[in-house]
Amino acid sequence: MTREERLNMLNELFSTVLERDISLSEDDDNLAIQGWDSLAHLLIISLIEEKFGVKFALGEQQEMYKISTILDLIEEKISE
Amino acid sequence: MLFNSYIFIFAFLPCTFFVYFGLCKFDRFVWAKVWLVLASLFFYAYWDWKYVPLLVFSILFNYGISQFIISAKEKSKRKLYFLIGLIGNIALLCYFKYMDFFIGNFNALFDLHIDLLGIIIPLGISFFTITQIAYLVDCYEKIAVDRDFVNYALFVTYFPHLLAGPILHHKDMMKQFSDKSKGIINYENIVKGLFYFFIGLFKKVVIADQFGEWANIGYAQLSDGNLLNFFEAWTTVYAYAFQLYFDFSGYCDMALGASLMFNIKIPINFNSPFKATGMIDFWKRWHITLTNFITAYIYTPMLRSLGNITFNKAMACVLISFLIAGLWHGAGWNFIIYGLLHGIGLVVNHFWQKKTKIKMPKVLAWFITFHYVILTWIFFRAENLEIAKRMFESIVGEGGVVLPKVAEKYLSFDHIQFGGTFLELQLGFWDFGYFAFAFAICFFCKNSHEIVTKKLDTLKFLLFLVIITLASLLSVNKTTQFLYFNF
Repeated sequence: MTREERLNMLNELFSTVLERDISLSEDDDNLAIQGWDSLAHLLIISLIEEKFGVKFALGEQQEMYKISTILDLIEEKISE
Repeated sequence: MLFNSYIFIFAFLPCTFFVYFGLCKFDRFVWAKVWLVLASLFFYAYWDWKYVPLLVFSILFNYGISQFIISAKEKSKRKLYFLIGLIGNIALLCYFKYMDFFIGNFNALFDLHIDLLGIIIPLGISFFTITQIAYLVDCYEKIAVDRDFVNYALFVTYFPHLLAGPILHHKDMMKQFSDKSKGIINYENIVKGLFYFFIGLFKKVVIADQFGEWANIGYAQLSDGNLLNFFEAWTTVYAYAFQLYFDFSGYCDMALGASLMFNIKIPINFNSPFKATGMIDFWKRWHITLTNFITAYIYTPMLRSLGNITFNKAMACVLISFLIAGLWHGAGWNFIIYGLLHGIGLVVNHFWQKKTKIKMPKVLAWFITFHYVILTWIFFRAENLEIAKRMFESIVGEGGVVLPKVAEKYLSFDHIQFGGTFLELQLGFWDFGYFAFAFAICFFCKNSHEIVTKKLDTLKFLLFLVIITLASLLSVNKTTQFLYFNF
């Protein structure tokens, strides 16, 4: 999967959790996206773990408030 | 040692700075870091050298146990060492911070009279304990990579954050501590650092401490068993609100600025929280690193342990997490109530956002949020529930409604009394202007992070920096502690 394909996947996941159509860019973070609060964050991460077959440590989850960071971490985990 | 003291500004900071960069210049990078650790321990010792062994013990204990966690071959062993570490830290905190609270409640519950131990809370213990707990969790989850002891010691003791945060995350900090390029003096960072430092100092000594004087008068009267009249009560509530706001904002800026001079970026911990239009928004702006810690290491594992994630379970976890956060601030029922009220506020905010489709006008949302927060701070400031109760009675007018004498010329109604605001102090027109000034800063001005991203080599900026520096240095005569040192 390319980074862009993963970004599209994230669009789907975010849209599911936030209950509206979301189109993400790498610079987006939790301050830019309305509704991305602690609960949404947890749900999004659970979905990411499920869809990409990875697991994130608590310490990593607290860094995942930026789209580019999320993509970097996913790539890191998959290549492990 | 306090940031707002001449000894820190004119002796400690320059000395630490020059020796650090001097050592870096001669490629003694490790020695430079050791120097910073020693300087930080001295900074801590300046408050009370008798507690330095405690800090050192905490560092050695956590570093040691983390080594066991990391080298453990089986998961069960790893878990065991982690639990030992976790319990050890919590036990330390319980003993030094909560022992007398437990004893007091035990006495009340069972009608006993066990003597309190009179333990003094070591400065910063709440902070350096939870910082290291987070590190242990990361070791357990195998994401703590840097095991250099000097880096670890520096990570815990680093003086800009040692006493009242921000709560640092090791991953980001270790990376910076290992980066040799940071050992070269950077003039842009020094200018930005000085700006942050002096604007923080200004907020603390010129703004916060003045409001503190008024808030103290009001709360002292309540302590004496009296009520305040309606106007005095609200003046006190707003005064404390601005005191706490500018005190903590000032501290966060000073910490950031002091660190930036060493080319080390510490996280933003404060982002115009009085501009918040909801409780969720508030906690994304106030004590940001604490919110992140609670979310990552308390809320998340709690919610995940309850099976499939539902909205109601999440709300219960929010409540419990903030109860814990409240208790973390201090050993008292007033802090527990404070935490509970914030938990409730957050739950209401979540409900409103998710379950109702009603959009509240932003100004109303802001008004409610602001007042809800400053009213919860009555529990924060009042030494006990009795005093908090008196304040709540006062703000609804049970102590009488007396408007300040200065307003008599402008308003006169039959049933309104006019008199002094606070018996010893007649707050005049200019004093109330202080409130307007503070209000304007909180709500309309750019905050320090927004200012520092603009062009810094302008005359306007330089002039601003010089003025706030002079104004703050001239006011650093009464050394008052930062409020967050109490936690």
